[in-house]
Amino acid sequence: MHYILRTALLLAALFGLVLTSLHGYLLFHGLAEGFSIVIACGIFMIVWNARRLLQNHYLLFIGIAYLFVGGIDFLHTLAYKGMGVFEGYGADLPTQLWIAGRYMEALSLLIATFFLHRKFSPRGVFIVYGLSTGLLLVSIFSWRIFPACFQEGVGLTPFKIYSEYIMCVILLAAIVPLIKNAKDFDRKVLILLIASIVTTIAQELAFTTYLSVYGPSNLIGHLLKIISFYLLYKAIVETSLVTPWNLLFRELKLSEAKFRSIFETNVVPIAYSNIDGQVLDANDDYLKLVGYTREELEAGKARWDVVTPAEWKHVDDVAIERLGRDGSCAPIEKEYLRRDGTRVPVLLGACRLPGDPHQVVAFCLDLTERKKAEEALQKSRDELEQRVRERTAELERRNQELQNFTFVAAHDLQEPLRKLQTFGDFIATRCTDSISEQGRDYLRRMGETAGRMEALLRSLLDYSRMTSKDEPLAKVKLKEIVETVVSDLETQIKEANASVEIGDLPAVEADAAQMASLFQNLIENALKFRRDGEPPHVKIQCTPVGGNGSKPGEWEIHVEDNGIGFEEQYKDLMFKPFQRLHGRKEYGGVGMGLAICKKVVERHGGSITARSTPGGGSTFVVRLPRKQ
Amino acid sequence: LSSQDTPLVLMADDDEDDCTLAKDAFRESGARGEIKCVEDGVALMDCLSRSDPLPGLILLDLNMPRKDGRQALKEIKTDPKLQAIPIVILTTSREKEDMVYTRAMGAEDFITKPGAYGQWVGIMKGLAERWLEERES
Repeated sequence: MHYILRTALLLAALFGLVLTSLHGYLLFHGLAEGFSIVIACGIFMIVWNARRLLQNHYLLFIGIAYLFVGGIDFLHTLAYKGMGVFEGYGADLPTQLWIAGRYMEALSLLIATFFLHRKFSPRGVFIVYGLSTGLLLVSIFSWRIFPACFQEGVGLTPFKIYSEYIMCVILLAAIVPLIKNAKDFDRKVLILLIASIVTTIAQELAFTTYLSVYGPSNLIGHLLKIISFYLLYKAIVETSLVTPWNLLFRELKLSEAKFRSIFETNVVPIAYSNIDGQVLDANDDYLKLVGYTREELEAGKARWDVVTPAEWKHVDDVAIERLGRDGSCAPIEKEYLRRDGTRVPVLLGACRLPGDPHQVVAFCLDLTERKKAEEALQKSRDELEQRVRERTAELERRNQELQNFTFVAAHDLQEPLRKLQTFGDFIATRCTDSISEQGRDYLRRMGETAGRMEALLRSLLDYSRMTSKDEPLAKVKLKEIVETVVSDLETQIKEANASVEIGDLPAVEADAAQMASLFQNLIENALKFRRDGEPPHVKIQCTPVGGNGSKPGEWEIHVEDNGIGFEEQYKDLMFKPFQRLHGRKEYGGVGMGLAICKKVVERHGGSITARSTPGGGSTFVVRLPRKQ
Repeated sequence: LSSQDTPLVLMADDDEDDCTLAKDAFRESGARGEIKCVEDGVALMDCLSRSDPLPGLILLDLNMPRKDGRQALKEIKTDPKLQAIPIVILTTSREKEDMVYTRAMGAEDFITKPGAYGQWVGIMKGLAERWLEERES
C-alpha cells in the first residue's frame, strides 16, 4: 500500500511537472534540472562529510563527481535557450554543456567501479575534478574548441548523437562491476543504483532524437533524468539518512553481526557486565557455566561478584584494577561458585567496552577437564617420584648393608684365621721333632696360605672402609701427607735403592687418611713393579687443569715411575678389586691397591687413570676437584 | 710363694683360646707370676672388688659381652682405688680410633693380638718386664 501510494505520488508529481511545460518549457526545464542539481549537491554533502566513515570508496567517488556534474548542469540550465544569461552562444551552448555533464557523469560512474576495493584521497579527487571541470568550461566558453552539438534548424550533430550512444556503452560497462561485486552493497542500495544507471541509459537514448530543444523527446529525456536522479537520491541520500547502517555504517553493522555470532555460537562463555558486579548479558555457555537460567540473569541474580567465592575476590580486585588502568586484563585463573554450590575452575579474560568505563566483556574457559588432567598427571608424577625415592633408599640401604657385611665379614674372619696362624706356628716351631719332613712342608705351605688370606682380608677391610667409615673432608696439605707416607715406607725405599721426588703439591679438601692410603698404594706399586737392575725413581708432581671464571677446575697429580710398565689395554682391569696383571710368584700382593686408589679418588669427586708402555714406566694420573 | 711374691696379671677376654695362648706364652716367656682370666667386664670388676692385693697388670680385650673393654677401662680409670693399675689393651682391632680412644681413657698400651706364637711369647715377656719387674724394683 505504502509503495503504491508513494509511486502514485511520484507519478502525480511528474505529471504536474509535465503540466508546467505547457506554461513554458523553460519553467519545466528549470524545475527538472534544479531537482537533479539539488540531489547532486545532497549526495556530495552526505558522502563528503561521511568520507572518514565510508569503507566503500565507490560511493565516495560518485559523491564527489556529482558535485561537479551538478555544477555543469547548473550552467546548462542557465545557458538554456531563452534564459538570456549567456548572450551570443546560441542553442549549441546548453547542448555542449549537457554533453559535457553527461560525459562526466557516465565516466565517473565507470571510474568509480575502480574504487570498489581501492581507496583514494578524497581531497586529491576533488582537485582533479575541479581542474577537469575548469578545462571543459574553458574549452566551451573561451577557446570554443568543444565540438558543436546542435545546429539551429538542422538539429543534433553526429558528435552529439554518437556521444549519447557512447555514453550508453560506458554506462552499461559501469553496471557490470556492480553486479559482480554485489556483496559489497546493501541489496536495496545496489538495486536502486543499477535502476538509476539504466534510467540514465534510457534518458541518453531519448536525447538522441530531438530536433528542437523544446521538443517532446527532450521532455521525456528530462523526465527520465529526474527519475534517474530520484533513484540515486533513494539509493544514497534517503538510505544514508533513514537507514544509515545500510550505507554509511554497513561495515559497522557487519562487524556487529560478526561479534554477535561469536557471542551466540557459544564457542566460549561470554558475559557483559558492569564493574560493580551486575551481569548485563551473557550467552548460553556462560549461563551453563555458572548454573543460572536466563530468567535469573535477567532478574539480576547471576551477578559475577555472587558467583565468585570469597577466597577468589582478591583476584577479581587485581583484574578490575588492571581493567581500569590498561583497559584489559590478561587471562586469570579463578573459580566460580555455581548456583548449586559446586565449584568450577575457569580461565577468565576481560576487556573494557569502549565508551563506558564501567562495562566490561569477559571471556571464560571451563578448566575442569584440564584441572583433572593436571591433577592426574601430578598424582602419577608424585607416585613415580615416591617410587623412585623408595627404590633409591632401598638400594642405598642394601648397598650399605653389603658394605657393612663385607667389613664385618672381613673383620670377623681375621679372628679365626689369626688363631689358625698362631696354633700352626706353635706346631711348626715347638713340635718340629715329632713331625715328618712332609708334614713340616705342609705346615709351611699352610702358614703361607694363611698369610695370603690375612693380606686379602686386610685389603678387603681397607677397601670397604673407604665407604663404610667416611670421615668428613678437611683442608689437608698433600705435600705433608706424601712426605709422611714416604717416611713410613723408608725401609722399603732403602731396600729397593729407590728415590722419590716430591714436587709442589697443593692443599685440598680431603680425608687425610684416605689420601695417605692413595699415595702409599701408588708409591708401593712403583717400588714393587721395578725393572731389574734399575733403581726405581718415583716422581710426584701436580698441575692445575681446566677451570674458568665460574668453574674452579681440578688438580692433576702425576705419579710417574721408571718401572716395568703395562699394556694399556689392561688399564681398566687394573683398577678393579682383586685384579692382578702378574703372577703371584713374580710380584706379591692381592690386587687391591689400585682398587682402593680408585675408590678414594672417586669418593673425593675425582678420577684416576694411567698411561704406560711395557718397559717404559707408568704414570698414574689422579684428578681431584679444586673445590669440593 | 706368697701372693705378694707372685704378681698377678688379670686378663679379661671372652676368647678361651686367647686366654690359653696368653697363659702358655706367659709361662714360656719365663716371666714371674701368673695370668688369671675372666670372661668379660662384669667378671673383671667383680674380681677387682674382691682382689687383695690388686693385680699388677690388666690385659683388656675390647669386644666382650655384657660389659665391654671400653666401659671397664673407663670405670677402672675413674675409680681412685683402681686407677693406678696399668692396663694394656690386647685386642684383634687395628682401628686407629680404638687406639686413640683407649689412650685418651688412660690405657697404658695398645697391642694387636699377633698371628705367630713366637710373637705371643715375645709380647708376654715384654709386658712382664715393663709392668711387673719395674714395679718390684
